[in-house]
Amino acid sequence: MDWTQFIELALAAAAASMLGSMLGLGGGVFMVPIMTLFIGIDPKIAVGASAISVVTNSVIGSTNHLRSGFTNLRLGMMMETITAIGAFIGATIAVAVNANVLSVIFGVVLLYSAVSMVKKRTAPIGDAGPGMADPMRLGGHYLDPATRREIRYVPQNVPFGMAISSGAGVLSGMLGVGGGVIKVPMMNLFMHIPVKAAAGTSSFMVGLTSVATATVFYADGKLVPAVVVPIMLGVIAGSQLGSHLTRRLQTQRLILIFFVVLTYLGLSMIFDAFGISLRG
Amino acid sequence: MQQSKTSTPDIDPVARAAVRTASWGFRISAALLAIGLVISIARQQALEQHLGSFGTIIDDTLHFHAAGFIGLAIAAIILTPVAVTLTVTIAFYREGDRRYGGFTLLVLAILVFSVLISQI
Repeated sequence: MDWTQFIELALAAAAASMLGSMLGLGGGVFMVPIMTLFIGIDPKIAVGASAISVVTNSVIGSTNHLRSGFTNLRLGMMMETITAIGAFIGATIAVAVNANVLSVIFGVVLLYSAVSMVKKRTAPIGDAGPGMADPMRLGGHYLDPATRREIRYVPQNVPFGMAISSGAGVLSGMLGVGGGVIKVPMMNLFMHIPVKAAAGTSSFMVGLTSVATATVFYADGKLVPAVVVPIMLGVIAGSQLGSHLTRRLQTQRLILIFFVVLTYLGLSMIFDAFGISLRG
Repeated sequence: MQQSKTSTPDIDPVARAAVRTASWGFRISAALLAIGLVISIARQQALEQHLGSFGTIIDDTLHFHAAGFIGLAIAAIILTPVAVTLTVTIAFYREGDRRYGGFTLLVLAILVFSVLISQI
């Protein structure tokens, strides 16, 4: 066993998962660039390992969100019908295309993530009182621990949300990321779902989506235990530490740091695909 | 958005079923991973560069090889969301919610299809 690489991967996964859980992005957006740019892992093997890390993170995180009532299982399952198909198609494309193409797409997604984090807004949520129509019985409610008040909501624009979610599924399948960076703002801004419910529902969905991704990469021989095992150990440690640190640190300051990190990683992935290294 | 003072709402039976299955799936995967790593270190068996077929994984496990337990740990974590979907399907039908039982069954079918096609 190459213990140096094992420790490097475990630490990278812990850091990626910790950063991801602090910002509600999941660890995938950090995991693949760190593995490919700094540890020299093949991009397709990195995407396969990242899919396993997303499943692990989702299994750990969604139990907490379900207990808190943040996860809307009806909405999640309805949207997942089309998202999982998207992920399967995306993963099938990913194993067939050139690794440099994947790197460029990943770089673009990282740059989008950086910009969307800075522009992150909270949509005004409509009144979901007893009179509000909910023909699909998709409405949810939870007790907000910050205000000790019950929050009720009814998702709007569901067909549009499902269409965007299928696109997030394709990207998730291609890149091994959870897709939370697309789904959470979309649910909040266009479907008028409170951020905590959007994050809880997305956290549950990404685990299901990444199963489709992981199995396609397994079939293609791209799940390498020597890479996946340290990643799983790192995710287990990092996600616990991340949720602990989130309560102590000021998120607004971190967003600026992560904007710089995501932009650097995104540009590095794109330039690397063309044989230009930004790592000095 | 309606806000009203209330006590902590009880977790509903469907969510409870999902939490229970996810918790057990994680525990089983973590235990198998720990056993695999202990065997790997004790017997100085390197971690594999390729995850074998399910038959090979079972065979390795029966022969107490690290690769078998680690393969099972990876399989367990991949199959946990599938098991959660199965228990949520059952819970929806038990609640008499056929519409969302049906949606969940469709998700389960897609996941099972993707798992089965990876074995072909």
